[in-house]
Amino acid sequence: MSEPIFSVWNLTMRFGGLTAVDAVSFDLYPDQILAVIGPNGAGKTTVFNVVTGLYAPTEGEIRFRGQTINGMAPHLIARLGIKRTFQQSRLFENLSVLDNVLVGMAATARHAFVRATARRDLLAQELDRDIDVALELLGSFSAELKQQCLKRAGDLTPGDRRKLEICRALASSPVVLLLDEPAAGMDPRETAELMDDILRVRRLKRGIGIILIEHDMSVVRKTADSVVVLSYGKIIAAGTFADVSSNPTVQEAYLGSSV
Amino acid sequence: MVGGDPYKLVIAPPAQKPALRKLAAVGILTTGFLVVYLIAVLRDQWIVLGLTGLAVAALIVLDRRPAWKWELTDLFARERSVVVVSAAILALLAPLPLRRDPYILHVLVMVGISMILAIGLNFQVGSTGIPNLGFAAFYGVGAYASSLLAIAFALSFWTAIVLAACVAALFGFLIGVPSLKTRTYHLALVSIAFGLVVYILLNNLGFTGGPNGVKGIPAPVFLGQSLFTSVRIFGLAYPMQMNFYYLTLFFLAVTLLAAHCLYHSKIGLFWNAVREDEVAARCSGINVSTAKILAFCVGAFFAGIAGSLYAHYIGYISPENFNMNVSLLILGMVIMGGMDSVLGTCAGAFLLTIAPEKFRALADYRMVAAGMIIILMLMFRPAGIVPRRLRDYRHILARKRETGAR
Repeated sequence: MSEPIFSVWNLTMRFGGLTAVDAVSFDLYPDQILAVIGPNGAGKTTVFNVVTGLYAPTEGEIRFRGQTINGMAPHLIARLGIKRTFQQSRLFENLSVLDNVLVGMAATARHAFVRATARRDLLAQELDRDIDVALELLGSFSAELKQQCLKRAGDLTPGDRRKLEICRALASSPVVLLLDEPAAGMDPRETAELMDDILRVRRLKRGIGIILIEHDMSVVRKTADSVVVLSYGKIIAAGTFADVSSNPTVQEAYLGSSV
Repeated sequence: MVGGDPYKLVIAPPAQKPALRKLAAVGILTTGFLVVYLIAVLRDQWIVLGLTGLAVAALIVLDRRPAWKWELTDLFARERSVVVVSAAILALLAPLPLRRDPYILHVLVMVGISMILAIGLNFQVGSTGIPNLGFAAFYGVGAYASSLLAIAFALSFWTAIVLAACVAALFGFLIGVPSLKTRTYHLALVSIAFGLVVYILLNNLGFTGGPNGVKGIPAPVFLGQSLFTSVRIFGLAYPMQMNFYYLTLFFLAVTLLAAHCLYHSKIGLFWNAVREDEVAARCSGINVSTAKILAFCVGAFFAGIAGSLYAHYIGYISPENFNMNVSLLILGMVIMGGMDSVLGTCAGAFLLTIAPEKFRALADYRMVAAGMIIILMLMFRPAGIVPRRLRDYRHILARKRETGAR
C-alpha cells in the first residue's frame, strides 16, 4: 500500500483526571474511508477536536504528509488541507448557502486585506472563480441546493444542511475530510442519500482520505474500507467491518446491540 | 417575478427602458432624501411628525410587500452609479438653503460625525459580533491625540487627523489583543472596563488637562483659509458650520467607501463567519484572532477620525464628551439602525442625533420620548430600521447565466 497521508500515533488527551483519548494510533491512506465507531463518550469527537487543533494533545503525534502538526492552530491545520464537519450542525446560519461555501474556501484565500482595498479587480476575479467552483460543488451534491444558493443557510432542511456542511468542508479541496456523525438525526432516505454523497466525494476528489464517525452501522458497512472501534478512549478493535463486527470485545462494548 | 424566491430574480429579464428606470431610481431617492431632510430641518412639530409618520408608513409598506422591496433593491443595485451620483449631489446641495440657520447646520455636522462613529462600531458589533460597550474610548483617544498633537507640534489639522486615526487604531490593537481571550458577556465587561480606564485616565493624566479638558484646539485650514471663518458664495455669507458640514461629508464619504469595500470582500465575509460561529470559522481556515483584531483596529481608526473632527470643530474637548453614555448612544445607533447594515447604522445615527433636538419642545420629558422610541423600535422592528440582508450575488449569477447560455 502507498504511504499514509495522515497518521495518528499514540494519541492521548487528558482533561484533568479524565483520559478521553488513550494511546490511539491509526493510519489513513489516499482514497480510503476509515470509520471510527464506539459507544457514546468513547472519545471519538475528542479525536477529531485534537487532530483539527481545537485541543492540543497531551501525548502522541499527529502526522500529515510527513509533517508533525501537533499543537498547530486550527486555521493553519485547515489551510494544510484537513477539514471537518461537526456533530451538531455549525453552519453560518445567517449567511447564504453560497456564502457558507465561500467561507469554506478561506483556507485558500490570500492577501484578503490588499484585495479588499487596493486590488478590487483581483477580488472580483477571485470571487468569480470561487462562485463557479462553489456552484459546481453544490450542484454535484444536489440540484436543489444549487437552486437555493442565495437562501439563508439557517432555513434549509436538515438533510440539505448536512450536505451544505460537507460542501463547505470540501470547498478548499482538502486532502483529509473528517465527518462527525453525518447521519445523526436523518431518516432512512436521507441516510441513503448521505451514503451516496460520501462515496461520491471519494469519486470526485481523487486521493482524498475520509475519516467518518458514525453510529449508524448501515452507513459504516456500506462506505467504510476499514473500521476503528473506540471504547473509553482506547482502540479495542481495528480492521474491516466484517472483522470488527464479529469481534466479541466489540459486541461487549456495545452491550449486545446488533453490530 | 415574485419576491419569495430570491433565485428567481436572477433570471429576471434585463431592464426594460433604461432611461425610465434611471429616472425612477433618482426620483425615489430624491423623495426619500427630501422627507429625511425636511424632518431634520423643519421646526414645526406637526409637519415633522407627519413626515415621520410618512417615513414609518413607507417602511411598513415595504415590509408587507416583499416583492416591492426586491424590486426596489434591484432597481437601486442596477442603477448604482446614478444613485450614488445623485445622492452625492443632494448631500452637497443640502446645506445651501440653511444660510440663516447655523444651529441646524451644527446638528447636521453632528449627524455626520455620529454616522462615522456608528459605521466604525458596526465593523465590530455588527460584522464581527464583538460586543463593544466602550467605543467612546476610541473616539476620545482620537480627539485627544488630534488636539494635543496639533497644539504641541503645531501640526495642521490634516496631519493631525491621520495621526489621530492611527493612534486610535493602535489603541484598538492594544485592547484587541487581550480581549481575544474573552467572548460574549465577558468581552462586553472588558470593553466597559476599557472605556472606564480611558475616561479616568483622561480625567487624571497631567498632559490631557484633566477634567478641564483641552482648550483652543486650532481650526482646520483649507487652501489658506481657516474653516472658522464664514465663506461667501455669490455674495451670500454662509456660517462657518457649513465649512464643517462639507469637511464632515468628505470624511463620511471616505468612511462609507471603506465600509463598502470591506463589506464586499473576503474580509467582510470572514468577519461574518466569525460572528456566526467562531469554531466553524477557525476550522474553515480563518485566523479568528487576526480577523477580530482587524475589526478592532478598523473600527477604532474611524472613531479616531470622528474624534479628531469633533475636537477641531468644537474647539474644546473634555473627558465628559467620551464617557459611558456616549458609548451606549453609539451602540444604540448601531442596534436601532440595523447591525451589519451600513445604511441602517447611518439611519440609526441620524435618528438618535436628531431625536433630542426634535423633542426640545417636550422640555423635561424629552428623555422619556427618546426612551419610548427605543422601546417602540425594539417591539416592532427588532432587527433595526434597515435590517441586514444576505449578500447579493444575483447580478454575478445573472451574468454567468447569460454568458453561459451562449
